[in-house]
Amino acid sequence: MGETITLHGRPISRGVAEGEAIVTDKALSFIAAAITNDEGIVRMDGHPLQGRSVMGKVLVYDTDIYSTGAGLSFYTKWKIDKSTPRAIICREMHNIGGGFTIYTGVPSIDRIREGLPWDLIGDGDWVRVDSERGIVEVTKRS
Amino acid sequence: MNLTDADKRKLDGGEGRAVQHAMEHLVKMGEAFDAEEMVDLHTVHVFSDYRTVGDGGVNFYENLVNMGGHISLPSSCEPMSMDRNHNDQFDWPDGYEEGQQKIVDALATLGVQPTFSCTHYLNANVPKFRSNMAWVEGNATGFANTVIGARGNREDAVTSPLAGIARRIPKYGMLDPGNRVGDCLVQIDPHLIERIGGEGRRTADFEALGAVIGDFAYDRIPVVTGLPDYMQNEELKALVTACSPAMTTTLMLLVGISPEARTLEEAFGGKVPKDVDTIRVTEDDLREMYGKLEQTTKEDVDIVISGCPFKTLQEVQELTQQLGARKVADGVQFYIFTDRITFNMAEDMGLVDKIEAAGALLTTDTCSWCMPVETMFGPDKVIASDSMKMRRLLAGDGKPTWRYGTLTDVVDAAVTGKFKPRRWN
Repeated sequence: MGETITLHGRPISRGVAEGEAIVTDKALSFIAAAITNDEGIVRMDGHPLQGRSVMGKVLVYDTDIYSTGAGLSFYTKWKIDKSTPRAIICREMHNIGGGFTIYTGVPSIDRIREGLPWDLIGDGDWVRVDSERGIVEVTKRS
Repeated sequence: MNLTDADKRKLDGGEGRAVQHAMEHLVKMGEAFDAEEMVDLHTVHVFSDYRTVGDGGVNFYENLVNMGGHISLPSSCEPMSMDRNHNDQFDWPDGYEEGQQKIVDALATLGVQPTFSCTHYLNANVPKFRSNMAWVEGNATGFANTVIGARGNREDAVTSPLAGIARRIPKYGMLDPGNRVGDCLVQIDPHLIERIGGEGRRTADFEALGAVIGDFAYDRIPVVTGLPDYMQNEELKALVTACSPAMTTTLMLLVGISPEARTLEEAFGGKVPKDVDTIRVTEDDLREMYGKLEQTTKEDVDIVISGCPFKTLQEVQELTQQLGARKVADGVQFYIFTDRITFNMAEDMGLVDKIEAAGALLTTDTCSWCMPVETMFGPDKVIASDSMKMRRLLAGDGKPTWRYGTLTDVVDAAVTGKFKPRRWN
C-alpha cells in the first residue's frame, strides 16, 4: 500500500463508501445515452473515459453536463442494474448530481479544500469517502 | 435551512406520505447546496421518456402514485420515447411500448399535463417573470430564465416531480435572485449580426452561436452584448439551446432582451467587474463551430433530422416552404419533430399532408434523443441535422455519425441524399 492522504470537502450526499478511483477532469452525464445503464460504460463523444466502466468505482469528475434526465437514468442504474459508482467526488457538484446521489444515498462530496480532485487522486488509488464528516482518504496506488 | 411551520408539517407527514417523502429529499438538497430557506413553487416540468428513465423511472413514478402523490401546480412533461400515431414506422425494442405506457399512466395519475414537449414554455406551461420553476430540460429552463426572467435551475429528473408534489423548493442556484448576475462577457461582432440567421438558416446559426457562447461560459453566467434589439422566439429558442449541452448553467443575460439585463451594468449586478473575462464572437467563430460540429466529410446521408428543440408552427411552415414540391430521396429517412399542439395546427393548415406527400415524417410527442438510437439507427449511419443539441447529445461510442448544416442544407440532403454544406463558406 502507498501513502495515505486526507482531503476535506463539502458533503452533498451523506454516507461512507470506498473503492478504486476512476478519474477525469472533464464533465460527465449519467443519462442512458452517455453512460450505459447495464454496465456503466462511458459512451460520450471524445470523452477521456470513453469505453471505461464507472460501476463499483469511486468516480472523480468535474461536474454534471447534458441532460437533466440523468436523475432517473442514475436511479435506474442504482435500482435495477447496480451499475453506479460507489461514491462520487466532483470539483463542483451540479444540482443534477446532487439530486441523484442524495435520492439514492450514494455518498458524494465536492469543493475539495486542498486543490483540484484530479490533481490529488489518481486512477487506481484506493479512496474512502466519508461524506458524513466531509473527509476523503486517498491511499496512493503503490 | 430555515423551515416554516407549514414546511415542518409537510416534513412530519401532516400532508401525507408522498409530500413527506418529497420534503425529506428537498430538505437534504437545500442543506447540501446551502439554501437558507424554501420558496413556493409555481410550475413543474418532468421527464417522460422510457429510454432515459428506464425501469427505475417506472418504479420511481409508480412509487409516487402508490404514496398518493399529486401535482396540482401548472405542469408539463418532456417528450416520450415514441410517436404512437406512427408506431408502424419505427422498430421498438421488446418491452419498450409497455414501459413507456406505464410512465404515461403514472404521470396521468399524478396529475401531470400530457404535453410531451420540450417547448412547453411557448404554449402549454408558460411561466411569468419571477415565477419559481422546478423544470427539467435545458432549452426550456434556458428560455424561461433568459427571456422571461422566471427562476429555476436545470432541475434533475428526480427533484422536479418531488418539488411539484411538495409545492416547495429550496432557494438555491437560479432560484436565488442574488445568484442571477453575470460572471463573464460575450461581445457579438456587428458584422456577424449583419449575416447571421434568416430564412432557412436561423436555427443552425443561432444554435451554433449558442454553442460558441456556451463553450466559453461553461459553468458561468454569460452576459451577451451586440444582439439585435428584437429577436424572434425561434431565434432565442435556438440560442439558449446551449444551456444544455454546452453550458452547465441555465441563464444567459442578453443585454436589451433579458428582463434582468436592461443594461450591461444591471446584468453584472450594478457594476461591470474590472478585468471581466471577455470574448468577442465573429463570423470566424461561427464558421469554426460549424466545422467542429461535423464528424465526417461523407456526402451520402441515411437520415435527416430537424426539430430539436421542437419546431414551432412558423418553423414547420419554413420547412414546408424549403421542401416545396420535392420528394425525399429513396433510402433516406427524414424526421421532423414537434409537439401535439403544433402538429394539430399544422394539420389544419395542410402542412402535414405536404410533408407526408414528400416522404418525410412529422412526428408528435417524441424525438430521436428519446429513442434508442444505437439499436434503431446504429453506428454505421450518417445523420444530417440543423440541431447542435441533438448532434452533441447523440454522438459517441455506438452511435451514428453526424453532419451539421442549415435547414436549407439538410432539406436539400433529404431530397438528394447528398449533404453539401454552403453556410459560412
